[in-house]
Amino acid sequence: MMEIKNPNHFFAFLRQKGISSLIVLIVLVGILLLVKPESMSLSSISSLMDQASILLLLASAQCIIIIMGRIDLANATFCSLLTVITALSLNSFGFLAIPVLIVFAIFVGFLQSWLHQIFQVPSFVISLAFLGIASGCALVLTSASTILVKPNVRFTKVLFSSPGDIPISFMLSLFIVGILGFLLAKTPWGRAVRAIGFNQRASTYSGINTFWVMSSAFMVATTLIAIASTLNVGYLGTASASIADSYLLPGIAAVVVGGTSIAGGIGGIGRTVWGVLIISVLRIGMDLLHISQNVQPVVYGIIIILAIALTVDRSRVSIVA
Amino acid sequence: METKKTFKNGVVTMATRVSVNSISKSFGVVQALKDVSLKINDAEVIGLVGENGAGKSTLLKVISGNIRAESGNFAIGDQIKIFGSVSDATNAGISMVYQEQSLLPNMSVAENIFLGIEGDAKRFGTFSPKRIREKAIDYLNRVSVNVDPKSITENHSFGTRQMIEIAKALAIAEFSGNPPILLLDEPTSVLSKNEIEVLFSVIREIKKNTSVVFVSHRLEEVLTISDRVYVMRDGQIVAEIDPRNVSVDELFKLMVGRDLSKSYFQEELTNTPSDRKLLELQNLGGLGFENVVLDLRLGEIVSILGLQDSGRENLGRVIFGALPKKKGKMFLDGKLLAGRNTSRSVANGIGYVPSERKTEGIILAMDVGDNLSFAHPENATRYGILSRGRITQLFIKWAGQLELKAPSSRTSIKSLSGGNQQKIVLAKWLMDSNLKLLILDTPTRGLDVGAKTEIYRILRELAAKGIGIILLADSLEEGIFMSHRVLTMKDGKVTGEFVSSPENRPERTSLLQGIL
Amino acid sequence: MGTKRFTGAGLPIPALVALLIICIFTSTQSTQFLTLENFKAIADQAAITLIIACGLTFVILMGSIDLSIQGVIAASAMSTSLLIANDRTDFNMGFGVFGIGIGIGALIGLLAGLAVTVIRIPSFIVTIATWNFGLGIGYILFGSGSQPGIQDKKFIGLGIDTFFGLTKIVWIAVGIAALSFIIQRYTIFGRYAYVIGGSEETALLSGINVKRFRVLAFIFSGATSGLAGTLLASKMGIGAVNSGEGLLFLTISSVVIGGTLLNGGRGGILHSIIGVLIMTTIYIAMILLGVSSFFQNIVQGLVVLIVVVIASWKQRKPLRTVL
Repeated sequence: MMEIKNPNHFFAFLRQKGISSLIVLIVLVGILLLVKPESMSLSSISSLMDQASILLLLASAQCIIIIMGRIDLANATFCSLLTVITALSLNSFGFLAIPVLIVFAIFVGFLQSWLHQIFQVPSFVISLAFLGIASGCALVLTSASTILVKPNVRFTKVLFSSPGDIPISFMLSLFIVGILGFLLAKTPWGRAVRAIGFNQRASTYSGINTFWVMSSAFMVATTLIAIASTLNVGYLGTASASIADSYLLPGIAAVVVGGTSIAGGIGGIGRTVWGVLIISVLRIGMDLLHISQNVQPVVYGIIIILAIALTVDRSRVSIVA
Repeated sequence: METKKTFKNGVVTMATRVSVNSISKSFGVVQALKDVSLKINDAEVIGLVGENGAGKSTLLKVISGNIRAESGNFAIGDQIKIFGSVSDATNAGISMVYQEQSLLPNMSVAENIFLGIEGDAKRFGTFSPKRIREKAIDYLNRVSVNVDPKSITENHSFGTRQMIEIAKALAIAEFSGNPPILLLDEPTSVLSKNEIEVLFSVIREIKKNTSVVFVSHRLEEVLTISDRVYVMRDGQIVAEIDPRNVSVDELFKLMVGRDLSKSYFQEELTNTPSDRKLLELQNLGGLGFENVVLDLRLGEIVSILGLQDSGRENLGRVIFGALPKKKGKMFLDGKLLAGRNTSRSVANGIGYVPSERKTEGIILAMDVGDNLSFAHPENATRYGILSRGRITQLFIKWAGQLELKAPSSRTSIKSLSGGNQQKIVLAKWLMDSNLKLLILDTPTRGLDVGAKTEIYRILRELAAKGIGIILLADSLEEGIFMSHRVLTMKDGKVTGEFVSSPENRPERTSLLQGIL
Repeated sequence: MGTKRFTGAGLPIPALVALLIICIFTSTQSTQFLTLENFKAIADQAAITLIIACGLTFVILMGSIDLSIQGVIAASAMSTSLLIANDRTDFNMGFGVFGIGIGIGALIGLLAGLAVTVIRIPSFIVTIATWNFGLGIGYILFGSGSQPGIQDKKFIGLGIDTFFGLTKIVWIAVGIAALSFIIQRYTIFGRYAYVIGGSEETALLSGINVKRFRVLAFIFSGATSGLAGTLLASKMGIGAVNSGEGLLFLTISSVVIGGTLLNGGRGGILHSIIGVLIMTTIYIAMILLGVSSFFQNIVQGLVVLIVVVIASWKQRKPLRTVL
């Protein structure tokens, strides 16, 4: 059990159980239902879930990294790059491209982790550099134009059909993310990942192979990003250089609002799922209020700051720069 | 003893600068300071000695304002004060020279000395480098350090930096305008013989104005430089002596004092180690130590004694694989140890109990069960998945075996006493059926007598089972009475090896020679 | 050995050597490189980056980071273009827009500084938020109207009219750099920036008000980005939300390659000046050599990566946890 220091014990209890984000979700949905019931119709929810499935994967990737006490700023931009590469390779090589891409993504994840650990460079710096390199590569590959995926290769469209009311893509994402959540919560590996976020040194002194645990977490994260880019190609049928860039802020917001601590250790995939749903509902709300796409990131930024401000545990962050 | 005597109405008195009154401080259940009182007078050097854990460091931290006392106060002049922060103390003229240097490596010497106390070198937010340099030269001369004040600090040797550190503390103490007092915590551990002599002459010079409190393990030095010496033991002042009348040995006896009954270290449980070699170290070298040779047998307890910079801490870490080795070889049961990472060592049957229990031994945010099963989760899994049931079983088993007081496996480890926390750290390794070697870095530090005894019992049982133990002992006694052999280390080298048995224990003075 | 030169306010020798090598190499590959025109182009290009880099340097010296540059520029450029004589609104503040641009930047910086020091949120998160906040302001100001075109001739002339051979914008940049150097050398804020970045703990123990100085650093960084936004409006002649595109990476890589360490405590304005010159020279060299502009991003990202990795290698310690 983890203790959270908070003057208000009731809310602390809720947060500890990861339920507070669920309550927020219910409240938001309630507000929307009151104000404009048709926004919560099955068809509009269904169409929202397509995008939510991608956000779910990207947010979960970020969640793993944040639980370890690190951050990946290249998360969304790398997704853009992979989306571009997926689109191009699907056109040229067909389905075989996808496993190759996942291997590539795993390699990049390992590289990030290796540079971070061996050279002791902060993760935000490494990921910032990777962000620049990835966005540059995406520009080069697309020559700043849009790539169309050939119709006969739009196999992933099937993923976005909905035999029931919920699109397959969302269920697929939920399934993948569910496995990850289970591993994180119930296996020694997952416990080690969280322990590294709490106290890396004590973990090393207990025989945890921090190099490989951290590297594997980074590799899992980039694998999720690769899967997300595959879905992205299917969803849009096109790819351009900065296509997924805008997922960074909502991704971090979903993680933080869900109840994962930015300091590491506390949190999980389950909470991130609620966080993603909250962000998705928020999107509906913002569209209703006619907040333009360009201004929505401001809202995410405010949410991130508020969520961290309300949950920061002073005893764990002594020096913040 | 020369003292600055003041004449008041024709009566000679020695002015007391600061009177420390009945200071008490505890950390959880451990009472670090119990009703400590002493006087610091004008123009004198006070020596403060005591074993590890006697409370010297804590006392200094309270006097310098780093830690707030629970009860007691300071009488300065005719005022009674309580120090809630470092600036409270420095405003009263008390300034500490820290063991781990507080100088900023990338700034000039002058800026380091006057950091925060620029005084007239600072006006309306602007800063005059020239003025700072002028003021710095004055202080540098007083500590007999001949460096360019605008030179960059990190370019100077350790010893020079220590003296600059003293200049800084002096400047801070005098800045307050109150009669200055300097606190020196183990100032000579990084100095060469020559530098120590320079330091002593500086102290003799500055003591005319600045009173000095000198804390050190090196008893001879303390006796040389001090005008009066206070001896601490178990958080209390047990003696105040005139250094001219006391020898190092007598001083040491005062420090250790108690009549240790055999049952404390459970000598009756001493086992005979096997003849088989368990661990072999061949000219092992790493960060801060070199050329360590050791043959540890099955069931043997070897203690390593040494001061902070003796290199013994890192020796333990290198054997465990937490630090990389630089030279030499290690063999466990004949198998070459690469020592590249801790997980390999753990898989080979090595365990490690670090010195900082709260920050390195346990993970405070996790519960008892998770901490317990952290190093060897294979004992807590079912088909690869952590099982709450198995964790609970582990908890019940080990709580019983080690007499662990904790409500359940889900209890937050934060709420346990230090002794119980340490037992969990031990259990973490004990549950490994393949455990061969256990390395412990001052495992009983900060624990009460009862907890210590229990830890010793556990170590005895382990040795009897054939497990090899390397114990970085907290005190000479622990080293002497707990082990089959004692190694002394100093400045990164092994200086002595002594056999120890209930019939034949090594001489304290010989051990001290190896350490000091 | 190189660390000796990376000290306090010492000279960034490795960076200077790098600059020299790049210049020599490019001049062998392109005849246009060693011309007066080219140097003027470099100066022109470098000016805006230099102004931003000066502000960013103090933030980085203290161990923080400011990613909000492009957002502040968006807000500042848009408000400048709408408040000076333009073809969309009736305002005509003349050169008063400088006050607005700098003011907006300083305000955003203040918000960031407070979030970092009071709420204790890491600066890289806070400034991503303020980055988007600034962009949002820019978009709102842009609204649904047409792109404002600036009509104040004198204002637009800042980037065209020359004064002793260099444009006025370049001279402004020189002035800011000089001011920043004086701040670094002769003010408490400048000196303490190194202390706070070197060891915040020591700074606190010495009685330094770390919070206040950190907030000041963010305010100054925001102000310089705001100034850059106003100048970009002048240069481009229009108000565009993406005026600052690409400047974040360009500036960070400039500061980093100049030798200011990202963990803080080392480097300084001189380092950043040289760093800006290096990155700008690379930029111009790539254009002269016919390299596609898409590669600029990759190059800058690689520069940050390589420089940071090399610098960190020297400082690494066993068992150290870096987040």
